[in-house]
Formats: sequence, C-alpha cells, structure tokens
Amino acid sequence: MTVAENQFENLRLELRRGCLTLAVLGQLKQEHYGYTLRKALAGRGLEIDESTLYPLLRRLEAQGLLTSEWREEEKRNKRFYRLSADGEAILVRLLDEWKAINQAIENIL
Amino acid sequence: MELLDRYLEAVRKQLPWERQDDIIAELRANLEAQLEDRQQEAGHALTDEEARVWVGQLAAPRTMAARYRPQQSLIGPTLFPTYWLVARMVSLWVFIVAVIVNATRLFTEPWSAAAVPGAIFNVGFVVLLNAAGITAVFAAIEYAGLHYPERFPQLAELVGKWDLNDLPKIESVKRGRRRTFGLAVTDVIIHALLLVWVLLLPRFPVLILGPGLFAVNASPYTYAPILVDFYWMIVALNVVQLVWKLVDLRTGAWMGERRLQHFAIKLMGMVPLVIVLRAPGHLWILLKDPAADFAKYGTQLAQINEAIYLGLRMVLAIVVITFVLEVAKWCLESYKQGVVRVH
Repeated sequence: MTVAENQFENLRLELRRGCLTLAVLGQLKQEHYGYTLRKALAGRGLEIDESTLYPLLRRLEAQGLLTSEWREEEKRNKRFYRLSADGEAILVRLLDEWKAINQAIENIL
Repeated sequence: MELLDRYLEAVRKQLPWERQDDIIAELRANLEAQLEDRQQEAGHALTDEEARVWVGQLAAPRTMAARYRPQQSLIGPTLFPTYWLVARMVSLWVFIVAVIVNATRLFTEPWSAAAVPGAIFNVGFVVLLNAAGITAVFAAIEYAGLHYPERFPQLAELVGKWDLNDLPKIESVKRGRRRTFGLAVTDVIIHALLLVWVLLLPRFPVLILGPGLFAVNASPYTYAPILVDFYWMIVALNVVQLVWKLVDLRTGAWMGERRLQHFAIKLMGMVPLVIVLRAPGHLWILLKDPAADFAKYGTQLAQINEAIYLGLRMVLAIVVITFVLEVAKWCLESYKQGVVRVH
C-alpha cells in the first residue's frame, strides 16, 4: 500500500466511523439483533464487518444510546438492541448536523 | 461447528474475563445465524473447505477481541494483543533468567544482609527495563507500519493477518477451564489455614513434631539461627501466595491456567532453599551446650549436618530440574497449540 493509499484509507475510515454510528442509530429505531442489523444495513448499501459492528453496539449501549435485552428467537438466545430515549434525542441532533454538513459540502463542491 | 467453536474460544481468551460469557454468547448467536444463512444459500451444510473459507473471512480473533476493549493509544488495537503476548512471554523468560543469575550470585558471593533485597530489586529492574524495551519496539512497529507503509510493507501487513491453524484445540480449552469458583475459594481457605498453622509453629512446635517434641527437648541438639530466617522466608512466601490467590479471586484470574503464578512461586520457593543452603559453616543443627557435649556428640553432630547438607542440595537440584522441565514442557505445548506465534 502506498502512502497515498494509506492516507486515503485512514481518511476513509475516519469519515466512515461517524457515519456508521449514525446509520446504526437510525436503523435501530426498529429492534434488531446483531446479525439482522448487519443484514439490514447491508441491504441498504452499508456493509459493515462483524468486528466493527458488534463491538460498536456494545459501546453505544454503554453510552446509554441503545438498550438491549436477551430473548429467545427460533430456539436461540439473541441479544436485541433498540434505540433508547437518549439515543433518539441524540439521533435527531446528529441527523440535523449530518444534513447541515451535507448541505455545506454540496455548497462547497 | 468445531471450527466456529475454536474461533470463539480464541476470541474469548483475549476478552476481559468479566465480559467473556456475555460477549461470546452474543457473537455465537450472530455468527450461527450468519452460518445458517450461508447454508441456506448453498443449499447444504457447509463442507470443511467452505467452513474454513467462511471462518477465515472473519476478523482475526485478536482483532475481534481487541475491538471490545478500550482503545490503546501507543499501540493500536490490532497490534496490542500480539504485543501483550510477546511482552508476557519475554518478561517471563527474562524474569526466570534474572532470578537464576541473582540466586547464583547470592549463593556464590560472600553473604551480606543487603544481598537479598538487592537481588530482588535487581530482578524487578531488569524485568521493567525489558518491558519498556518491548513496548518501545512495538510502538515503533506501529508507527512505521502506519506512517511508512511503502517503506515497511511487511509491517503494514502485520496488522490483521491470521491463520485458521492458530485457533486453539477445543480439548485444550476445556482442560484449562475445569476449575470452578468454589474450588478456587476452597483453595484460598485451605491456604489461609495452612498459613495459620505455620504461624502457630514457633509457639506450639508440637503441631509439627508431635510426640517427637519430647525427644527433641531431651536431646543435646538445638537448631541454628539460619533456620529461623528460613522459617520467616517460608511465612513470607505463603503470605505472597495467599495474597496472589486473593487477587486472582478478585480479578477473575482464577479461571485461567495461572502458569505464570505457578512458575513465579516455584522460583520464589528456591530463594529460601538457596539461602538456607548457604548456612555459615554448613551448620543447621548445633549443640545446646557445646562445652559439655562436644566430646560426646561432636561426631554425630557433624554427620547430622552433613546429611542435611546433602539432602538440601538434592532437594534444590530436584526443584531446579523439575522447574526447567515444566517451563520447557509449557513452551512446547504453547508452541504446538499455536499460542506462541508472532505474525
């Protein structure tokens, strides 16, 4: 990997990191467990690998933005996540920020 | 699927103990659901080769586990588990060598009161210096791989590579996890009782000598002061062991194999042996009244001390040999299981 590619990769990951959080919070208005969330995001064009998504869910939950519960589904215990009240409030603000940034970038470019 | 079980165990090993079960249960549910989807798509249960391809596409176990941990800033989360493994392995060996070197010095150089604390300080300093060196090397690798990938492509590739053959065997995982919390608590209680028993010995020697105490009291012999030092070193060793076990209970380390603890205690156990072996004049037993009894018991006394000397040397030799064999066996096992692997 060249310096330029490495630089691009770092910047891409940095850019993506914040977007992933927004996407996950947005998708979790509806309850999901890890794998169905991953599929739902992929279905909408956002592929996230397991080692990024599943730990991210834990972090967002630890921050109080998600709630979770273990429940049995199809004879298997799964941990279901959903947006918490705090998460909903944060999501609204983040979306406003996202739209403003998006608009600004559009204006700049 | 055995390969998935092995993958999950490899992840589990590198997770904080208090979150292991919860994280692994969730990860298992997610991966099994993913596996079912794969099998539905394929229309059949995955073959061994397909399973290897699928598991091989997952993140390296150490990377997966590292992302559940707080981020390390000096050394990135991908490199950190390797750094931690190397630091522990190398530190253990440096510790062993430093202890042997310092113990030999204690044994061969003229005795002084400051020699033991000096040796302990020296061992600590050497281990610390070594750990600092390893940290600096890994920080440099991290920096070089991140900032100069074209100049150091191997370092850049270091991150994220893994091999299915590195996954632990399920049997070995089960063997390491047989210990229960109840057993660990019982171990601590028994150790505490043993310590109490040892502490009561000076006041109640009958606890160790039994009826033989009357014979000892009636004999013309007594013990040399070096045996008192030896006694207190044994007490100290037991206190260290007990505290270590209590800390293990608190931190959850009791679940692991505790090899490091086992080796460290064995090494520490050699120190009192070495010191007692260096008793001035090789005298462990003395006469209560040398002036009156030497003519009668002098030869017998010399024979007793000679026998003790030989016995102590044999014990020390056995302890050292078994220790070296155990460490060698452990290294071999670790190597076979692919635990000692640095990419």
